[in-house]
Amino acid sequence: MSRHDDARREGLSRRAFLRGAAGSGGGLVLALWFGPRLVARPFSSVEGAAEFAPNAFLRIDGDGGVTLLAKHDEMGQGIHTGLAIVVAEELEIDVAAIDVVPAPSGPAYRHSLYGVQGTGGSTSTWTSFDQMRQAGAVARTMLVAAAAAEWGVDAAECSARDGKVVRRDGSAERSYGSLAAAAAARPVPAEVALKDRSEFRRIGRSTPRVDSPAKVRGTAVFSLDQRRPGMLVAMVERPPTFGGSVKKLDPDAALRVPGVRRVVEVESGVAVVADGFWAAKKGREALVVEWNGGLGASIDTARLRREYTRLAERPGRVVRSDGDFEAAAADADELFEAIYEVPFQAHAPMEPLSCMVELKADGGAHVVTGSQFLGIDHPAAAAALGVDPSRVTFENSFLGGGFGRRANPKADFTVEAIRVAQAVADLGVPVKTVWTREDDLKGGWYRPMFVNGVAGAVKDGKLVGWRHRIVGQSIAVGTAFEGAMLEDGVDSTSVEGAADMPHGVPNLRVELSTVSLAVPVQWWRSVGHSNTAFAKECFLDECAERVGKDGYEFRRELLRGHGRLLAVLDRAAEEAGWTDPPPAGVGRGISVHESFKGFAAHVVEASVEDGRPRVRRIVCAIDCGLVVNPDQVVSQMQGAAIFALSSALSSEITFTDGRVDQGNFDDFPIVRLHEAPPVDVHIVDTGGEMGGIGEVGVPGVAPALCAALHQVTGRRIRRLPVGDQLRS
Amino acid sequence: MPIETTINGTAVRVESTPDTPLLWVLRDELGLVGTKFGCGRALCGACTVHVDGRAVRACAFPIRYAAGKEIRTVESIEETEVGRAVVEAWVGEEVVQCGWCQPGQCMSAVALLKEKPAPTDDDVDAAMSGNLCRCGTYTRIRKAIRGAARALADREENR
Amino acid sequence: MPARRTSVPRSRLAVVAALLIGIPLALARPVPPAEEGEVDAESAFGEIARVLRHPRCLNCHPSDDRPTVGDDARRHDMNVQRGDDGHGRVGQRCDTCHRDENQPLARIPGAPHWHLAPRSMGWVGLDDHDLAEALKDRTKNGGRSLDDLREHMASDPLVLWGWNPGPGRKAVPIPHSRFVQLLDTWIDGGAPSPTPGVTSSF
Repeated sequence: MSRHDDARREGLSRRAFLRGAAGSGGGLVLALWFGPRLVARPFSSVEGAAEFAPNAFLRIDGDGGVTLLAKHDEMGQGIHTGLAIVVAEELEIDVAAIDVVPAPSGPAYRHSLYGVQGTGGSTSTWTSFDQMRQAGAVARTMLVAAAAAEWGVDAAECSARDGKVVRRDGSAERSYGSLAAAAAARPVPAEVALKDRSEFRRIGRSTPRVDSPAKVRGTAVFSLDQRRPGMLVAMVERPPTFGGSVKKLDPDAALRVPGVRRVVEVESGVAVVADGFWAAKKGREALVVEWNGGLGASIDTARLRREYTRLAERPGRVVRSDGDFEAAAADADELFEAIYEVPFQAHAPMEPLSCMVELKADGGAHVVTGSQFLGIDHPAAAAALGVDPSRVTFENSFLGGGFGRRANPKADFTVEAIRVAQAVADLGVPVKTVWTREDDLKGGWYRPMFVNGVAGAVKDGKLVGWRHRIVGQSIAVGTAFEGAMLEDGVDSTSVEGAADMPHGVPNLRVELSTVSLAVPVQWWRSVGHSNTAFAKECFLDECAERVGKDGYEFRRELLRGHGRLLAVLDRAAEEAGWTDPPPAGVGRGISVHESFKGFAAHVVEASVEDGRPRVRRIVCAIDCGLVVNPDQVVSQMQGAAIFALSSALSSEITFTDGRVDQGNFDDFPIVRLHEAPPVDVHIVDTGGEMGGIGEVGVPGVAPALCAALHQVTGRRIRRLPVGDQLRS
Repeated sequence: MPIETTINGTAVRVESTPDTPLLWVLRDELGLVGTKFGCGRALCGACTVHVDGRAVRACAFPIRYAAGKEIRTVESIEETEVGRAVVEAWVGEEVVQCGWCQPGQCMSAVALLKEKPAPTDDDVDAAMSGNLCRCGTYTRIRKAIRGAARALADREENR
Repeated sequence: MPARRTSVPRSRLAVVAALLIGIPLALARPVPPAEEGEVDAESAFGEIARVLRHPRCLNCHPSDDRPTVGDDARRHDMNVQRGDDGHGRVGQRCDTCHRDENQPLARIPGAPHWHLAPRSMGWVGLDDHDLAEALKDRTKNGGRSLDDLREHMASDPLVLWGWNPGPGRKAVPIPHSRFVQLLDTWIDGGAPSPTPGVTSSF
């Protein structure tokens, strides 16, 4: 019991495995973030040395140019802007005046909590907040000191404002650029004063994204856009079944395709190396390969569903047990159960994966990619090359969507690109390995499929017992994170959102059956919550119906004392007009869920047309604590709702005879503009701890949608996606 | 046989095999990487360009069809008033998230507004539903198109 | 000129049989295709109707404003609609994606002047009788004479595409030459409209 308490306090997520890694936010010890050795060092990804580089994050040039090296990867969540706002707040400079570039791979850019460089878990803002404030404050302090020294006055007589240091008496001012050289010569202060929150002028105000203009004009450089002189393009034909391997390869027809240079076997399949994308693609089409089936050759979704469901009917490993569920069940007036299922789900970022490798004479390489996890990719690339990581340099790009896929625990697309480059090393040119959409959807690393068996016990009109059995693969088993993420064989991400449910049910039991399967799986935006919240919130609605209560009121009662959850629940209900009946033919559902230290409630309104759901409106309320850029919180919540809707309505990955049935956006449909409802977002600030955003808006959408559909059809949808289930 | 076409106002001779999609001529040969690849099957719209002023998916446009045509990519979007209004509205409404689909979105929006300066919601649905956005920026795309249409109308009035 | 066969066409037999034993008509359809060979004008039309009702033809002859796609005739994705001229709506015309030829690697079908038949030529939901009537009705068929109609079906590349639809799509299952032969039989036989209530399909 105590272990579970601990786990719950920790939030039972990816955070857990990094306990003690690098301290948690709030520690204002400068040396923790950037030791003196890093001061004024040039950075590999930026040409030339800056005049003033007070820490690993900031450079100020003599001409006044301010560059922020962003330790977190920009994949749409607006973190480049968010980090810039926080730095600018302390540096006293306009956010728009800061040029934000992706940081190279390096120890200075380690995730403050995870200990390895990367972006995920909706942690970037809150784990970097104090660090970025200090980075800005250190620079400001040094610039002020430089100006004060020049003027021969006390620093207290000077202040920083809008990119300048000014004397308080107004007698002099100097731009940061003109002070850069002098500031660089000054010692880095051991401690700096940070602004009080009441003094914030930028944090908390909606600020334009720094990357918008370039992205709209098409000048922003993504991984797939990276080009080098002489560069070749590689495309890998991977086995059609997971665990498969090449049995027989006939490369002749592929080699006859104009522009194809080489056909080589690599660990992951057969690579066609060509002058460009089209030649590579035509070459790959012309390949004749016979495959060995491997471990995954018999995977079949229909059978998996049956097997998982059987497991959900049996006890699993107990992850949490409050009270005595069995006793409560035996004593109940009513005991009922339901099976909830979610399929394998692909991330499908709009930009397909790619990775360019330039091998170096010393055995190392320069790698150019779009990664959420340089901290994993870098050592993995070095290991693949058999060299010390110091011989490998990484250059990150804008990420055309990530959703977790680009944070691969085995660095799959990076290591593959290294292998391809090694196989054609004699050509002596950079090779960019590219993925097609089909490669992306068929290539694995999905959100695992899960089956949940949930049981409820009602006594005297009250929910007295709850048992949630979860069946699915672990995303940690077999990865470098296995030791850290698994405790007593339980992957915390399999049960997050269930094992830590705060609802007041006296007899509550959560069990897990971990399945081993050849399908590669990993985190997908909102990770375990994308499953558990669906089962939990849907079953809460079923319980509410049993005890004759409204879904909103029922949740309010069970969440007594949980102020932040109640605050967002109330706000969403209020903004959606919960007490007024929805229009005729429209159903309305509600959900509330905590994930990644964020609290979100959703109200979804939907009708059914031609047997298909039509979502009319989504209203959500979010509490993530202190907000850096409110408009981007709104944007994230809007986007998360649509992302969640795709997986709730239509997209899934299924298997027939070991092969993935889907291949592109025709059979993996995601929500299009004409199907997208308006999403109203309301930010709630209860004064609580800072938390996450990016993933928090996903888990609650599907259950609220299904509640809405139940209201109009009387039918419970217990399997995602909804698809054509309402047609039959 | 080389194909002669005009790209962003410049006459271009392309030596690629005639079945090469325009997308890969733009990206791999001409270095115009603002036009994005998302599906290769005209299912996502990330590669939307204009051919003689109309929206076309460059991944489904073999280069031989470009002979004698006027092609415009996002790189020249701001050369027209409608294009400038769209870019301005897109930036102003903070549409962008990851950004990969947005050049294609903007090119579709420009094609729409050029023919229908005051589009209805239904017109927007009809014109823009071929452009996918995995980040889910649709609410703002709608708003930006309305904004661009309004700005263009205001400019017209003040003329 | 092919000799007329005097036997009752199978389709009609099926209807009669259905009526006799009291099976609802809906269950009696679809009737199996006739064997190749010489047929009379009316049964020729049954064969023609099968072709016209094949997804390769019918997908672009919808009775509403939305084309269908694929062998299962599902609604065209992307909110594609007819538009004023049958070539789609602003921003998403047919030629936004479709070219003069199939694009096998992209799996996009194509043929010259790829577009939807006018709404008046919407065939979805018509039985053989109404289909024949619609074909002959100059106010609905684009002002075509029977000869024009034959020409359209014999040589329009968009029609011929139905026999060369590219990978992932079934071609019309009878040879095009046979189809033209059947057209000739039907037209030469006075282009009769079959008995109402029959819907022939493959």
